[in-house]
Amino acid sequence: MSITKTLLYPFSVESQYFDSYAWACELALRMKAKLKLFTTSPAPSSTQPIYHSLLEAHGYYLQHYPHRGVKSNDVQKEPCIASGELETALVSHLKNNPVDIVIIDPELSATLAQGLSVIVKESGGVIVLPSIKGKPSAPPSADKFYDDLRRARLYKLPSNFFFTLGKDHSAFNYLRKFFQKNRF
Amino acid sequence: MSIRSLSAATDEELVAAIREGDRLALGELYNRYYKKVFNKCFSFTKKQEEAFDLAQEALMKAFDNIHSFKGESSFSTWLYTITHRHCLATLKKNGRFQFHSLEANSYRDDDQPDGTPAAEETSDRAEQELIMYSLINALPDKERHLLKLKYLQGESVESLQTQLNISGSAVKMRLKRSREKLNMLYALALTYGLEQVLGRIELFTAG
Repeated sequence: MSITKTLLYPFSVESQYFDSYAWACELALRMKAKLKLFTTSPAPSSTQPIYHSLLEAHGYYLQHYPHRGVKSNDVQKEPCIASGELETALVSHLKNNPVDIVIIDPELSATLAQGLSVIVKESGGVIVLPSIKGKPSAPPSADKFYDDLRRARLYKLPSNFFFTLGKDHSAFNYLRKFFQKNRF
Repeated sequence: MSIRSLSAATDEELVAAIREGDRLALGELYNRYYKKVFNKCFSFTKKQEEAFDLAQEALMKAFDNIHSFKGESSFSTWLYTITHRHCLATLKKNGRFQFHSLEANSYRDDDQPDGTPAAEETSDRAEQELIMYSLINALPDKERHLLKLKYLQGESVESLQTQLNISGSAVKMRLKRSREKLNMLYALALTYGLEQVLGRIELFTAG
């Protein structure tokens, strides 16, 4: 019996979040996990721009993470739109809805800096993605996912995190290099 | 395909480029339509979160099966047909939409892959169903409820008479007026466009 992991990806439509969104989708796909897309809206009636933005972000993901034989719709996504200030709402959400891993956009990491320790405490683990300078002009290399993971700041990740990723056989060769570099 | 020529390319040229593995072309074509697909889904659900779910599923269906687009209709027609069928299939699955008069000749939703020529051929019908469904949803509560009781749940006039506590002739009269109103709205929508009619629905449904 397998239990589906839940990842949470907080984002703000005010920032350029498409790269980290795509990475979060890719992680969810590789872990066969559910991805909660968390943000806040000033009013319940003003959520349409958020949904439009998420759809656009998914187009970016499709464009930049080509898959062979994998339906991109396999990523289970669930938008969570709360009200109020993002950091407060996020911490409150985590307290009431535990998740396995929170993936943090580099631009958002400054906003969430004060609450990061709380976010780490209230979640199973946190991945703060590295800053990506400039929009990539071409699809990333096959190693991009792991390059970003290698440069990310990792907090309290579940012990079986890499084991789960290791089931992604296509990544085997890169994982070998990754473990060698980090001398685990 | 260069970025400059991307924006000038027709949808069909982009489809051809996507088939050759051009990811920029995929991004361009996707960006042309994702909002329209969302809006179409929203016209079904009236709920943004559900529209988002349906839109992303429909977009994925289309782009994952883009190789099956035969070019027998425009790309937009093909995409909207997939969207429409997906919305209908989901709503039917969830028990939220079933209208007998539209069911009689309905195509099969699940046993034929989207994007086949058959899907393209159903575009006119799909558009008609979309219009009809949107109009039923826009009717005042009483009329919408009555039509659904009669045609969705198959209630008899006698049963409606009891439920609504009115005479049989009153039930028949209300049904007749509701059908007539729906027919009128349908004709208006075909003539002036669905959005125009929905935008002025109070003018047509008052009284």
